Amino acid sequence: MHISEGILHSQTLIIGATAAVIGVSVGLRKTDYERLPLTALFAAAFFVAGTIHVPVGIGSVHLILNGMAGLFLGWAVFPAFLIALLLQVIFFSFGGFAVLGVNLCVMALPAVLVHLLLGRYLQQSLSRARLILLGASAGVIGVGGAALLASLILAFDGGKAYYDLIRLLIVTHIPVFFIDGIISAGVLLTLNKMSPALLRTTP
Amino acid sequence: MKPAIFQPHFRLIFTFVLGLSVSAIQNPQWLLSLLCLTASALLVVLIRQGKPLAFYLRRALIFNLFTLLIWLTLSWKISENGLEWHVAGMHTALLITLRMNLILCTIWLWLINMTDSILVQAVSKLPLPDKLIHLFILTVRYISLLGELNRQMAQAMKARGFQPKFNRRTFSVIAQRVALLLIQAMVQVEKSEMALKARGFRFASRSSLLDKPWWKTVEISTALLLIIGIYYAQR
Amino acid sequence: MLSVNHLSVRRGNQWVIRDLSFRLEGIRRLFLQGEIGTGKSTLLQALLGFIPAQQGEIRLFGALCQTEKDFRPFRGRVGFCFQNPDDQLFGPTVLDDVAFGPLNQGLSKPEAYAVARRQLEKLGMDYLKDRSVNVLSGGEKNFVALAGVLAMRPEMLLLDEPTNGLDSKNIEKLTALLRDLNLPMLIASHDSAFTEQLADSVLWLQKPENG
Repeated sequence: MHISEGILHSQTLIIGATAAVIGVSVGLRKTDYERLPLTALFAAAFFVAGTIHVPVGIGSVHLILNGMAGLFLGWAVFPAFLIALLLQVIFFSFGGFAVLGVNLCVMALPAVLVHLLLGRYLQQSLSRARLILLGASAGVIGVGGAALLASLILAFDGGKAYYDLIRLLIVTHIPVFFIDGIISAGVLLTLNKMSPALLRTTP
Repeated sequence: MKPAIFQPHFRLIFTFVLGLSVSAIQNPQWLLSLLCLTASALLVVLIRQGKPLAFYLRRALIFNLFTLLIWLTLSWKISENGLEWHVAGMHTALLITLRMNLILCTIWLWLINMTDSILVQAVSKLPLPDKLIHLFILTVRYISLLGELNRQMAQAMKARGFQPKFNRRTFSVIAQRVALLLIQAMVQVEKSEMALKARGFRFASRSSLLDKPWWKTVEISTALLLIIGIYYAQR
Repeated sequence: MLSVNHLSVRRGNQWVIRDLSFRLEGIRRLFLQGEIGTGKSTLLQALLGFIPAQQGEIRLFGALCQTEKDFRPFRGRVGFCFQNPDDQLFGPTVLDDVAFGPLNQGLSKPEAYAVARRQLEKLGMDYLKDRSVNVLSGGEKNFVALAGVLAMRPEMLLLDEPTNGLDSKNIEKLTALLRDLNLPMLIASHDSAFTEQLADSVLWLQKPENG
C-alpha cells in the first residue's frame, strides 16, 4: 500500500505531510509516559509481524495488520507506523521521505477508524464468533481502508489518468485483504485462549 | 572531520527536501540529467566504498519492474478506435519513471551506511518532541529483540518440518506466531518499566508543546484548513 | 544503609518472602543464596520498590520507603542490575545507553556523555562506545549494563545473578571489578565460586510456607 515517491505531486505530498504531523501529534498527546514501553513494544511486535510472509500462488504476501494495530494502539498508531515507515525507507529503500506523510496517513487513518469503531468491544468478554467477526472486521477495514485511501489520493493527484493504476492497486491487494482479515481473527482467538488479559490493555 | 552537511540528521532533512523538490519537476530533460548526475555520483561512491554493485543493480531492476507496470497501465487508452497509445499517459509514465529512479539513487547516495542506530541518533538530534524520541529509541530496540524471537520461532517450526503454504494450517500457525509476538511484548513491558525506573527515567508528564492546552486547537484548526483546502483543490 | 524489617512479599497468591529481616551496613558484600523460587530476584526488586511489599518495612539510607514517591530518589543512588542484560539495555549505541542514567539524573547532554565516556574508559570498554547494543555479545551486554548503572555513581549496588551467561574469564574480570569498587553490595548468586571470592556474609533464603 505504499505509494512510491515520484508518483505524486508536491502539493499532495505536503498535504499528506501536514495531515501526518497532526496525526502524530494527536497520537503522542494521547500516550502517557507510563504507556511508552507498552506502545513501543506493541509497535515493535507489529513491525516484526509485518515481515511474516504468507505464500499465495507463486509469490507471497506480507502481513499488514494495520487494523489490528489500531485496536491495540489507538491513535498511537501514528507515531508507531511513522517509526516503522522510516525504518523501511532506510532498510529496504521502500518509499521515500517526502511521501512518508502520505503513506503514514494511508496506513494509520484506517487503523484509527478501527480503534474508534471497534476498540471498545475488546474490553468486553466476547464469544468465539464475535471475536472472529471483530478480527475480520479489523483486517478488512484496515487493509480496505488503506487501499481506498491510496486510491483516493492517486485520483486526487492525477485524475482520470490514474484510474488504471488504481484498479491495479486494488486488484493486487485483494489477497492481502482476505489474508489480513483471516489472520487478525486467528490472532484474537489465540490471544483469548492464551492470554485474555492482553486483550484488555487496549486504550 | 566531515562537514556538517553530512551529519546524519541533516542528510535526513536533505533527502526529504530533495524528494519534495524532485516531485515538483515537470521537465523530463532536467530529470534525466539529474538522474545521470546522481547515478554517476552513486556509482563513484559505491565503488570507493567497495559495495557490491550487483546487489544494487538487482534491486534497481526489481524496482523498475514496478515502473514497467506503470508504463503498461498509463500508456494505453481505450477509445472509440479500440486500444490506442495514450501520449499524455506515456509522458506521465516517463516523468514518474525518471522521478522514481532519481529518488531511489538519491536515497541510496545520501543514506548509504545508515544503520538503525545511526537513524535513531539522527532522529534524536532533530527538533522533535521528547516523547517521540523516547518512543523511537525503545521501539527500535524492541524490534531487535522481538525480531530475534520471530527468527527463533521460524527456525523451530522449520526444524519440525513446517512448510508454509496457502492453507488453513499455515494461517493458524501464523496467527499463533503473531499472537506469541504480542504476548512476549506484553511480558517485556513489566521488565522494561522496571529497568527504566531503575535508571531514573521519569514517567511523569513533562512540560512540552504537546501538553499546552491550546495545542489541541492548533491541531483541529489545521485539520479543518486541510480539509477545506483539499475540497477547493478538487473543484 | 539498608535495613529490612519483617518484610513479606506476595506474587499472585503465593508468599515469596515471609517475615524477612536483615541489615546491610558499611562496605560489605552480602550475598543472597537459595534454591530457585526462594525469592532472590523478588527481594531485590522489592528493595527498590519495583514490586510492592505487603508487610514490613524497608529503609534505604535510613529513610522509610513505602510508596513509589519514596523510592524514586534512591534509584541511581542504589544501582540495580537485572538478571538479563537485554532487559535493561536501550541504546541505541553503547555510549547512548550508558549516558541514559546520568541524563535522567539531570546532567546536561554533554556532561552525561562525558560521564558515560569516562565510565567506559574506566572499564576498558571505550572501544565499544559506538557499537549498537543489539550486536553486542552476551558478556559485553553484561558489562555494558553494569557500566550504565555505575555511571550513575551509586552508593550501593543490588545485583541479580551478575555472572549469568559469563564465561570464566569474564567472571574473573567481574570479580576483580566488584572488589575494586569498594561499595556495599547485595548480590543474588547461585555461583558458589563467585560467592566464595567476594562474599563477606551470606543470607540464605528458604521458600516460605504457603497455605
